[in-house]
Amino acid sequence: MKTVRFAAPLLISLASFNVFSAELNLSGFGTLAFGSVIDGDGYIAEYPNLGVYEDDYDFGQETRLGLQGTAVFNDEISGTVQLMTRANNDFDIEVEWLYVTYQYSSDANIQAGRMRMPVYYYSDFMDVGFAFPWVRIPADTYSLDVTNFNGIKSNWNFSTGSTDMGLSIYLGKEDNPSDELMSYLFESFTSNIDREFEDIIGVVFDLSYQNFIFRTTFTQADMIEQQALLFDPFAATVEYDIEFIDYFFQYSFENGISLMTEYNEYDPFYKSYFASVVYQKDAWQYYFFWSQFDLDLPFEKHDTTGIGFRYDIGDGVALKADLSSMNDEGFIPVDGGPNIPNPVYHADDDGDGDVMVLTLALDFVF
Amino acid sequence: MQFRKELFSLLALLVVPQLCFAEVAIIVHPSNDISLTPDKVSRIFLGKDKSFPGGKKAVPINQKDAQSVTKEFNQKVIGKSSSQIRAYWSKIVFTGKGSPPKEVTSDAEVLNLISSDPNLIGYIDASKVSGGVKVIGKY
Repeated sequence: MKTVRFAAPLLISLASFNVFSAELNLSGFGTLAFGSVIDGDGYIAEYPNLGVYEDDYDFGQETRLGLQGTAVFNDEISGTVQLMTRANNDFDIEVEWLYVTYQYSSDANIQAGRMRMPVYYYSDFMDVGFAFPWVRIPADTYSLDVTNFNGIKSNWNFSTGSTDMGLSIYLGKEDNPSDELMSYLFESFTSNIDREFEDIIGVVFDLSYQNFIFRTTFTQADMIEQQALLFDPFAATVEYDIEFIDYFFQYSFENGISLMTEYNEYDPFYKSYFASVVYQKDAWQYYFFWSQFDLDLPFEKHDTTGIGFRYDIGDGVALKADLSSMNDEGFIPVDGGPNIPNPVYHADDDGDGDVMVLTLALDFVF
Repeated sequence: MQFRKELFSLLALLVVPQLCFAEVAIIVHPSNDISLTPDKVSRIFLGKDKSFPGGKKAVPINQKDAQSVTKEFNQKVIGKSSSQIRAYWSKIVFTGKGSPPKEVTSDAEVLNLISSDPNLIGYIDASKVSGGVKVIGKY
């Protein structure tokens, strides 16, 4: 009850203030998440910021708070900032986004600054737990190490009758010094990996018609990776031409059942995908999902099956529970000998990587 | 005490919907000569359409979730629960794609705003309609 009491005063919707001549809209979101490994050794619940459950009730992996402010200067120009603090980054306050929007017509705008890389359907609101049914977006599928970029994005919307379509094109770059996820995944041969994404160019198309949603994205970039090798005094530099393609479908039936699925290919590295069924009845949602990560090489391969529920306690507050079971099949191939298991969670005692984790979460928006 | 208060609000949530049988009136400025299907009203309130048929700018005025007329409107016209609508807007707001309609706290405020601005559209309890506005639909 204590958490409910804490959240209740935050249920004011959008607070509006006038600062000089601009109107400032403030809104925010947050998640309190408690995860517990019930069987196995460790579970990577969130890849981009490396949130890993290893013990009993752990509050510090997916708990987060975001504040977003938009200053509307006039009908055409606005500025947006999103600040976030995450338990798994020691609650450091980070500027997640900082961009200006020029709305030059009612159906088109151009944005410049620091923004989310919109590669996945849920990319833009993957931190806003209140906006989706699960405790977390299926982690195997949402594992890209780069989430934001600096650049420009141009957006257009079209409507014909009850069909709504959107098109976005974006250009930019992103530096990821000491890439946390990659440095963790490859810690057996490197002490640090820096990644730079240059010449990012991407396109997003989405369409919604009645209860049907379709979205697809295509992104390409030059990735320059600097590896600090453990057994070599010189850093190795590797360059990749990367391509990322994603498809998302959702259909919601009138009886409360929704089906959604997403598939992506990250060339030349991996494929990942998930499918989920959600049943909504009044304030309750019950879900089942299955997600998979499949590296082109045998070293990393895992899938998660999960069930859970969401209960909307009040407007703007939802309580969720999730039970997820991950199966890890990554291995190191050995010529003429038995393959060596290579679980994605490294401190795995029995080496099979299989793990079951229970998570309770309270999501809110204000 | 706090717990009892929460329990009471939960109970109230369960009981209140059965007590509401008031009609919802969709209202605009008397000079606004349009007719709208419920689907079109819903699209304006969800931010999908930003103009009336004919091209004039349309600005929806919402009422707070706590108002019983809001629950009626959400159910009958939008076809979604308050929490579904809340989740919908959190997606739009935090993707920087828009902001929810301005919210006021009473039918009287809606009447007052709409009677003085031809771009606005709102909803009130049908029994509260007065001369300064035009009703374009009842649900």
